[in-house]
Formats: sequence, C-alpha cells, structure tokens
Amino acid sequence: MSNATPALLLVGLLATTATHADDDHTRARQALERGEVLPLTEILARVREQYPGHVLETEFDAEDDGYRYELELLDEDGYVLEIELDAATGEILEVEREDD
Amino acid sequence: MTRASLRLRLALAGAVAICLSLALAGWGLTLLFSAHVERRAVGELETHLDQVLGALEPGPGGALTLGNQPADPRFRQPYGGLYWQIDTPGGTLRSRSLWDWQLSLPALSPTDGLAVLDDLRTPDGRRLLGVERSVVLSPSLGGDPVTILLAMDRTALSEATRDFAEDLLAYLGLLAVALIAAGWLQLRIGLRPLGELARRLSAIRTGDAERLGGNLPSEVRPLASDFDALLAAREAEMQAARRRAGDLAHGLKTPLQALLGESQRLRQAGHAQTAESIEQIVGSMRQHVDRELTRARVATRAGGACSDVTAVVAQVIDVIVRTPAGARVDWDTSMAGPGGPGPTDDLPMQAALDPADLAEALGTLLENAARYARRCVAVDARINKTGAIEIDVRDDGPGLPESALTRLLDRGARLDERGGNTGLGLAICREIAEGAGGRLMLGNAHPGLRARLTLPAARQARGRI
Repeated sequence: MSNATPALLLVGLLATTATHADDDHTRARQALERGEVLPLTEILARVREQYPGHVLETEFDAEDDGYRYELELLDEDGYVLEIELDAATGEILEVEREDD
Repeated sequence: MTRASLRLRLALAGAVAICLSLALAGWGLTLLFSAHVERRAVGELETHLDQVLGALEPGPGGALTLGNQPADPRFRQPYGGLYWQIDTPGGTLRSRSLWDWQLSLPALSPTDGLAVLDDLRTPDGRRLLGVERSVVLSPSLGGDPVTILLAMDRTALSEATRDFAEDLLAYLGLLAVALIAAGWLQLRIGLRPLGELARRLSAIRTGDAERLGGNLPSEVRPLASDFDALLAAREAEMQAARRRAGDLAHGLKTPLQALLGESQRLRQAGHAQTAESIEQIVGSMRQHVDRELTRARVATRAGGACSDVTAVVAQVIDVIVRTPAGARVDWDTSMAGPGGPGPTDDLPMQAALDPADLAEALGTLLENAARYARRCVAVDARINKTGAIEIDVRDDGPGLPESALTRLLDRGARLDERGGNTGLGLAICREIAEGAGGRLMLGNAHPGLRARLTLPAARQARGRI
C-alpha cells in the first residue's frame, strides 16, 4: 500500500499536467473573452511579419505579469526558433535561434 | 488568308474546336474533382464525428469531457485545420485547434440527421467545410441533447483542386498538340486525292493527258466525270468550228476564183482598169480569208497536238521541189537530235502543234527561201538547250535591209520589195508559231536571209506518263 502511494501520486501528477496542457486553449479563450490577451491570429500575423515560416507548437502560459505565448517555429532557412511574446501586446520578448 | 488554303482553313477550324472541347473538358473535370474531393472530405469528417461522439464521457463534477482525443495532430495544433466543437447545455467543449475561437452552430434537432455546412466561417473570415449533427446522449452521460460539429479548412480542398487543375492543364495542352497534329495528318492524307486531281488537270493543260479519268475518290468522281464530259463537249465544238471554218474557206474560194474569171473577161473586153481593181480587191479578200482561217485553226488547236518535224519538213520540200522556184535550187536538210548533229531515227523530233499548221508555216518559209535563193536553201532542225525545237531556213539570196526585218512580221504588213503575199504569209507563220507557244525570228545571215522557227517540243516525245 505504501508502495502504491508514490505511483498513484505520479499518475495524479501526470493527469494534472495532461489536463493542464489540454485546457490551455480553454484558458486562452477565457483570457480573450476577458480582453486580457490578443487573438492568436493577430499574434501569429505579427510573428509572420518578422519570422516567416510555419508554427510547430504553441504554448500559452500565465506568468506573474501576464500571459505569454511561446511559439516553436520552423523558419524558411530550416532553423527551429523559439519565440516568446507578450500575449496582451503581441510584443516579441525573446527569440532563440542557433547562431551560425 | 483562309481563302488561300482549304487545308489551312480546315486545320484552323479543327484546332479551334479541339481547344474549345479540351477547355470545356478541363473545366468539367475540375468541377467533378472538386465535388469528389468535397465528398471525400465530408466522409472523413463523418468518421471523426463518430469518433468524437464515442469518446464523450462524464468528467469530474458531472461535466462532460472527451476521454480519448482524436489521433489526428491537426486537432491539437492551434488553427491546425481540423476542428471539433460540442455544444452541451452545460457549456461548450472545443478542440485545441480552435484555440481562442468558438463557432456558432446553427440549431438542429436530433431527427434532422447529418447536416453539411457549406458557409461556415472562422472568426477571422476563413471558410470552413463542416458537418453538424444533433444527438440525445445516453442516460449515463446525462441524457442531454448536444450538438457536435466537425470542420476543416477549405484551403486544403481548394489547393488540391488547384493542383489538380494545374496538372490537368499541362496534360490537356499536350493532348491538344497531339490532337491538332493528328488532325493535320488526317487532312494531309484525306486531301491527297485533290493533289492528284490538280496533277491530272495540269497534265491536261500541258497536253500530257486528254481526260481526268477515273480511279478517284467517290466525292470528286462526279466532278471529274462532269469535267471530262465538258472537255469532250468543248472538243466536239472546236472540231465543228474548225469544220465550219474549212467550209467557209471552200465556200468563199470558189466565188473568189469565179470573180477573178469575170475580171479576166472584163480585161479582154477592154476594161483593163476595172479588171485590175477587181483583182486587187479579190486578192485582198483572199488574204483576209486565208488569215482568218489560220487564226481559227490555231485558236482551236488542241493541247495535245503533235507533229513529227522531220516528216513534215520532208513532205513540204517534196511539194516545193515540184514548183518552178523549188526545182531551181538545191535542198540541204539536216535533222539533229538533242545529243548533237546527225539524224536520229530512234528519237523523232515532235513539235507541239498540228501537222497541218506546221506544214503551212514551213511551206511559207521554204517557198520564200526558194524564191530568193541563188542556188541553195538549207533547212536545219535541232533541239536546243531548253528542249525546244529550232528550225532554221536559210537561203543564199540577197537578204533584207535591217529596217524591213521587223516590219515584215507585222500582221498583214506587205513588203513590196519581196513582192506578192509574202508579208502576209510571214505574219500567218508568226501567228502559227506564237499560237503554239513558240516564235518566229528573221535575220540576215550574210549571205541570205535566215528564218528561225522555234517551237515547243511535244511532251509525248519524252514518253507518255
């Protein structure tokens, strides 16, 4: 029984992470409805202006000072970029790209 | 331009028809493909709908949740292109791909079955293709009516259609080229008998053939036989006209002769002056009758006429040596073939004119030569470099002043220096030559006068085709 407890905890933790990842779109929708963030279409449009390519993965996180979009993007030169934006203003905060 | 060639006209019309048909086919095929792609997409969406519906399960707190997410990654990627949304009385469940969008679903009742939504749009205006269905859930799931929507971006569909159309265009272009080439080939083969018809017509014109004949396609055979009938009728008319001209000559010659006899009697009765003027008038009438007869004969000359120059020369000389003038001179004849001097019995020289016309022309020339020669007349016939027949008649007489040479050949001109009817005779000779497509030239040969009669060779001489 005592052996089972950490395993159950782990399962519970995994489930929480899963639901967390699963419902980020719900949180994004709610934040948009509250007017706290820009629509993702607008965010993507801004990113595309500077970094043409296509989006591999999108993450939506809440930080202390507001929401963040973290995008993984494959640019036209074949580099995978990680771009962090302020979801409320669309401002690009950080771009990570392997230097050549 | 199109009037110039029947073949070009047909080819152009064929090419336009082919291009129009292929354009129509391309348009139709693209429409069919687009409809087909949409049907396939709707089928795919239906499968996803069943899967999403089957995965619905009660979640924590009684709210519905989706147990197994559909496997397609496009449902997970924000704006990934494939979306689901379930409207329940307790709230809306959405695929992650919808992200911050929510679609407003038209109201349906469970008995409506599956509805295909054609005009669904995302909040930012993109067009979607969707299937929607209203269902009543099982009691274990709460027994509520819910509405399920499965949708996909139309972009992928229209891209597929556009790609198809582009591929099709290249293929149709190739097909058009092949069809036009095949059409052109078909025209060439199909219209070849017309070329044969033209060749036979040209053979008739040059005298190599007398009729178009049979062995032609059934479409042109009536034309050819009508044409042949026309040729036969024309030939009969020409022969009749020639006969009438001959009759006219005989009919007029006897009265003119009688008139001369009357003038003799007048002269004997002492009216010399009256007789002289009547004789002059009769002479003039006779000249004109002769000339008109020649003209009629030359004009009605058939295209295929042919006479053996050697034989006609011999025949004319044979006649002239019996006249006083002809008996007085020596005749020197030389007949050469195309290869050089010397008689060529194996290849007779054939001139493209009626033997009677040739005899008349040669008769005039030889008679003149005999009349003015001192001792000898040379007749020299050969085939020149261009393949035409040249007959030179040369005497050793005094010749003619240069100024008289050209005047002598004028129609009906009389050259009193040479006396008699010579001028008119030479004019008739020239008319015969030109009517046959040849010519007559006169020149001083020092000594004597040389008349050169150039005549086209008859085609038959080189073998009938």
